[in-house]
Amino acid sequence: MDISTISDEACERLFSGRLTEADGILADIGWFLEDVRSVYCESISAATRAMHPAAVAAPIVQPALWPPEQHRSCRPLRSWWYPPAERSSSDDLAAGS
Amino acid sequence: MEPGDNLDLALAAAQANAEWGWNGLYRNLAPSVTGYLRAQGAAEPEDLAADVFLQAVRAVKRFEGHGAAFRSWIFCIAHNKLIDDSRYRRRRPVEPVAEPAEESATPVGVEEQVLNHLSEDRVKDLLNRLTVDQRDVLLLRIIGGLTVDEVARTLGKNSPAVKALQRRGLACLKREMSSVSVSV
Repeated sequence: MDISTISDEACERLFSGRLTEADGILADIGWFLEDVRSVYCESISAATRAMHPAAVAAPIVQPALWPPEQHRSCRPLRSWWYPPAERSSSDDLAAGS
Repeated sequence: MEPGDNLDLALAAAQANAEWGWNGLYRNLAPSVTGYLRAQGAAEPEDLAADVFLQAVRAVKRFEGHGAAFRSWIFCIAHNKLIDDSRYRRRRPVEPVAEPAEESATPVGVEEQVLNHLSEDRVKDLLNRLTVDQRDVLLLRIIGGLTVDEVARTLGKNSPAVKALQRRGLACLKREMSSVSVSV
């Protein structure tokens, strides 16, 4: 069977990880999709974890590694997280009040 | 399971300015958003993902819909940020700076590191064989978990066009994977 004629239903089974025996032609692609998820979905660096709101109570970290001329979006880790209405209270928190 | 793990509950809480709501949304979506940006070759995927969530924070009160629609909306923002970032970098190329090596939380053996690297190279190589449109569709489906209709809205195409790109992308992958296995 030519994969370009594969049915929409078989495609949906592929993307939802529910291939059947009848979908044998798609088996290796199914494994490839798992490889893609494995490579890209779990590779969250420490920098991303540091932007998690749970980390905002920590002091702003390592400014020396984020010189503005090298990182266009360099900003204090804390300020972007809170909605605008709450930013003043987070600034108070930063000031230690 | 925490309430924040439920996307619908987390969204409602975030719209009510509850911090646990944003915790839940971030925990749910940040890995796949960052992964999508990284798979699309963004130079600084974590920075770009932060911009995506910043825009979401600013606009969330105007958002209407449930958790699944929010997921689609976030990926729409991410895709548009990616396009903007690509245009910006084409106009203002910068020298890449080597980031300090991260310390892994758990030690990984040399053999496992080599296998991980080979797997990543293989994935990148196969994805690079796709056209831009085919890669957009497949990555939004694989990493974003979006439906055909959601991908169509994100990319500004109609659903039949997305299905055609999906089918051609899968056929290309199949062809490339078969040619690699023959040559081995």
